[in-house]
Parts: sequence; C-alpha cells; structure tokens
Amino acid sequence: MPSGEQVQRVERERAFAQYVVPEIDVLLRVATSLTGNLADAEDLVQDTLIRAYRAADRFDGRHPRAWLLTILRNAQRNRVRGRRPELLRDPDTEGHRIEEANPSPSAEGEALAAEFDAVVAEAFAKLPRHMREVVELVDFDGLSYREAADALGVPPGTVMSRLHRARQRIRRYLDDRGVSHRGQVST
Amino acid sequence: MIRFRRRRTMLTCREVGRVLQAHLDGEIEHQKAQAVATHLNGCAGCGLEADVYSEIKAALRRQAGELAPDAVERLRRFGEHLSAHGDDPLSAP
Ligand SMILES: [Zn+2]
Repeated sequence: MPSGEQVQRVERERAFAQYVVPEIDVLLRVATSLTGNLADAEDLVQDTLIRAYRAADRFDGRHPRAWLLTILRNAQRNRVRGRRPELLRDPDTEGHRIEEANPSPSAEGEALAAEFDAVVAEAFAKLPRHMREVVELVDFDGLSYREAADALGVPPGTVMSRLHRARQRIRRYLDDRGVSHRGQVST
Repeated sequence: MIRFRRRRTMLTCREVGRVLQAHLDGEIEHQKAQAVATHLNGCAGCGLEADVYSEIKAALRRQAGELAPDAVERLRRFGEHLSAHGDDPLSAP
C-alpha cells in the first residue's frame, strides 16, 4: 500500500515529465531574453525547474507553458530583488547574437538580403528596452502575445502595442535608409 | 442583416492596417484572418505593407541566436535529477 507521500511524489514526477521537461528549450530562450546572458538564464531556468517541481502535483494540466512562464517571471523577480543595482542587466552591453546565413539565389540578392538583415539588427538595437523585450519574446523566442504577457507580467494588450510600435520603428528606420525590402533597395 | 454581414467581411485598408501585424503573428481569430487575407490578395497597397512586415518579422527571427545545446543538456539532466531525487539540496547534482 503506497503512502500518501509516495502517491504525491509519483504524481509530481509524472506531471514534471509531461509538462515541464518539454518546455525547457522555450524556458531557456525566454530566460535569455529576460536576463540578457546565458549564465544568468541557466540559473533562472534552474530556479524555475525547482519551483515547478515543487508545485507540479498541484498543477491542473491546463496551459503548461503559461504556468511555467509565470513561475519563471516570479523567480526572475526574486533574483533581481536580491541583487545590487549595478549588477542589473545593462541593455547596452547585452551579448551579441549570431546571425544565421540565408541562402539566396544570386550574389547580389544575397548582399541585399544581408544588408536588410543588418539594418533590421541596427534598428532593433536602437529600440528602448521595453520594446526590445517583447520583440525578443515574440519574434526571437516564438511566444504568443498571451505567453509573452505571462512572462512579463503585463496585459496582452501591452505586449501587442509595444511590439507593433517596435516594428513600426524598425520599418521607419529601414525607409529612412532606403532599404524597404529584402532583395530590393529603393532609390 | 445580410447587407451588414457583407459589409463586415469587406474590410477597408484602414481596418486592415490596424490588425495587419496581429494577423501576421497569427493572433486574430479565423474569420477575421480570412477577411484580412482576402483583402491582402486584392489590394496592392496593403499587400506590399504585409510583405514589408513579414520580411521584418523574418529578419528579427534570424537575429535570434541558436540555443546553446550544452546548456539545454545540463538543464535536462538537472530536470531528470529533480525527478529522480527530489529537490533535497543535499542531493544536488
Ligand atoms: Zn488595402
């Protein structure tokens, strides 16, 4: 006859394997976006996994990603609170990301495509932090508006307006530099 | 009534402009998304606008770095360890 404690433990392990483990990739992406560097991100995901493990037997199985992102946000808030201000993430010194090469049919097309991506990267770097954050969560990490809202602790409408304004700024930046299209530079 | 419904499915450029980014993000409901898609097919101006934002979105997606595979692996092992041994700090990996 298994004890109540054993049953709880088995249930916790099952929930953890089913809902938490498949989301580790997404959690690490989001944590990297929120902390700005891999070392902190990895620590943050560890905190999140421990918290999720402790709460797993009470999780109802609905929207595991939203549940995990909320746990991650709370863990992040605790970490930030426990730190000295000068150690907080400086948005200007964030790690650079590796650009992927894009196969393109012609050399000229390739150059234009690379220029387009470079100008987008430049425009992105100039965005204020709160805009960059939503762009990272939605466009880099592939979260929905709802999920990004859970990760940031703001309403989905706020995610949407920040994101749309961010992309409008990028668009204007491209226009100002005559790079309005990939593979097509306007004169 | 029928007329009203017809009118509602024909979106103006202004209406499309307001929901264009949400549409490209797959964040609007099916029926509205179809109405937007129909408009984009028939309207050169909005179609071009949609292309620009799709390209920006794709370029941003390419900015995202690859996830460090060793970090993912460490976290998976950490998760397995949690599952197998609980979160007793004395048994930390
Ligand atoms: Zn139109």
